[in-house]
Amino acid sequence: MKQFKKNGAVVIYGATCAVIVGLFVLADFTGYAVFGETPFGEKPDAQHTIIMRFHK
Amino acid sequence: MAAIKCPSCKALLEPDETIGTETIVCTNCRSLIGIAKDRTQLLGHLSTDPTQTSLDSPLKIGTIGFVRGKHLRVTGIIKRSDGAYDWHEIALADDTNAVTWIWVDRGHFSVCVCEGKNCVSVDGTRDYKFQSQTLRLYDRAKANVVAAAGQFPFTVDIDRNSEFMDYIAPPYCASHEDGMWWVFEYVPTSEIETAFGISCNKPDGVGINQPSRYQQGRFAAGMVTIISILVLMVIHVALGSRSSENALIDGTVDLHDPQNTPPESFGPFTLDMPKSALEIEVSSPLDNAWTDLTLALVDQATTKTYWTSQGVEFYSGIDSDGPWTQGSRYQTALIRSIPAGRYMLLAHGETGTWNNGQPPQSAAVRIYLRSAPISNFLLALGLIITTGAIYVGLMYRYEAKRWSDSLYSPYVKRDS
Repeated sequence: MKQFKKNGAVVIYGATCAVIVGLFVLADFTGYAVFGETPFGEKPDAQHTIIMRFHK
Repeated sequence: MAAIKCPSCKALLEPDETIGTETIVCTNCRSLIGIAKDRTQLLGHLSTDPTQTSLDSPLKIGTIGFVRGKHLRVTGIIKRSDGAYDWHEIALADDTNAVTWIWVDRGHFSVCVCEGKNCVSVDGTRDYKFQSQTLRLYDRAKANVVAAAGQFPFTVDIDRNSEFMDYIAPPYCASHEDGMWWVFEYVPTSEIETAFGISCNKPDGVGINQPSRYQQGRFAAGMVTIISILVLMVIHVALGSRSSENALIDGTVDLHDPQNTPPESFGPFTLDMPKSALEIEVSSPLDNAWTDLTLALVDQATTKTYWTSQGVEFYSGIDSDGPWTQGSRYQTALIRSIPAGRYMLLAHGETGTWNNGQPPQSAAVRIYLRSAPISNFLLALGLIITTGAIYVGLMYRYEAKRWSDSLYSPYVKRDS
C-alpha cells in the first residue's frame, strides 16, 4: 500500500487497470459484446421493407 | 584557532577551529593553504580561469540546513572533473562538528551515509554489497580538483589525479577511492530545497543512483496485474453461466417459393438483460446452391426492429485435381447488444443455384442467448497485458537512460 501512496507510476498503472477491469465488468454485466455483428437497427433497406410490408 | 595570513597574497583568513581545518582556500587569490599546528603551508594555486573554476555550486559556503535529522552547515566545496564531466563534493559540519558530504552530480544530490574501509562488503560470489544490496560497477575514472572554496578537515591535494570506482544500487552509490568507501544515498532535489531554503535548477537526466519509481513499484504493479486478471477470469466465468444451450428460437424457414412466401414468424421470446448477445445459427441441406435469410427481431412493445441477414452456401464438383467442395451448410454469427424486451423473429429467404444444383427447400434457424463472449475477456486481458508491457518498457527505458553514460551498461552490448 505504501507503494501506491507515494508512487505516481503505480497509481497511474493501477488506475488504468481498474478502468479496463471496470469497463469489462460493465460490458459483461450488461451483456454488451465489444466484438460481434451489430444489428442493422431501424434503418430500412429493400429487404427490410419487404419484410415489414408482409408483417403489417 | 587564530586568524592566519595567506602565504601568497597575505590576505587574512580565519580557519574554523571547531571542524579541525587542515586546508583552507584563500578567498582572495584562490591559493590552497595547509594548516598544521598553527603553521601554514602553501599547497598550490587553483586555476583562476573562471570557465574552469567557477564553482557554480547550488549550496554556498555558510548555508545552513536540516537534512535527514542533522543540522548541517556548508564549510567547503570542491569541484572535481573527469574530462568534460564534473561534479561537486560539498563538506558540511553537523552539530558535533563532524564533517559529512553531499555529492552533487548534474543537479542530483546525494548525502554520505557511510564513510570508511568497511562500509561495503564482498559476498561469496565476489559481489560488492551495501546493506544486502548488490552494487554494480558504473564508472571507473580519474578525477582532478578544478575548483574549491572554504575549508576542510584534511589536506586537499590538487595535483593528485586519483582513481575512483563508482558502484551503484539505487538509491545508493558507493565510491571507492584511496582504499576508502564513501556511500551516498540519493536525496530528491525538493528535499534539499526545503532543507536549505534554496531554489535549485532541475536535475539533468537520470541520476546514477536515482531511485526508479518503476522499480520501486514493480511489486505493486505485478500484484495489480495478477488481481486484475483474476477479477477478469472470475467475472467472465461467473457470468458465463448465463449462456444457454436451449434455443430461444428453433424454427424452419420454408424456401419452396420464397418470392411469393410471406416472412415466417417465430417466438415470442424474452430478453431480460439490459443488453444481450445472441448467437444466430443458420443451416440448410443444400448442394451447389445458396440461401440468404433476412432476419428481423421485432420488439413487440415498441415495434423497434433489429435485423440482419445470414446465409449459407455450399458447392461441390470434380475437376482435374479430383473432388472439391467450397462453402458450408452451417453458419453462425454473434449479434451483439440487443436491448431487453419481448421479441418476435421474422424470417424471409432467398435462394439461388449453380451448375444444375437444386434450390434448397428449407433452412433451419436457431437463436441462442449468449453471455458476453470470450472476445470481451480477451480484449480486456490484452489491454491489461499491454498496459503491463508499457510499464515494463518505461522501467527499461529509465534504467537504460541511467546507464547511458556508463561503459559498464548492462543495456548495451559491447564487443569483448
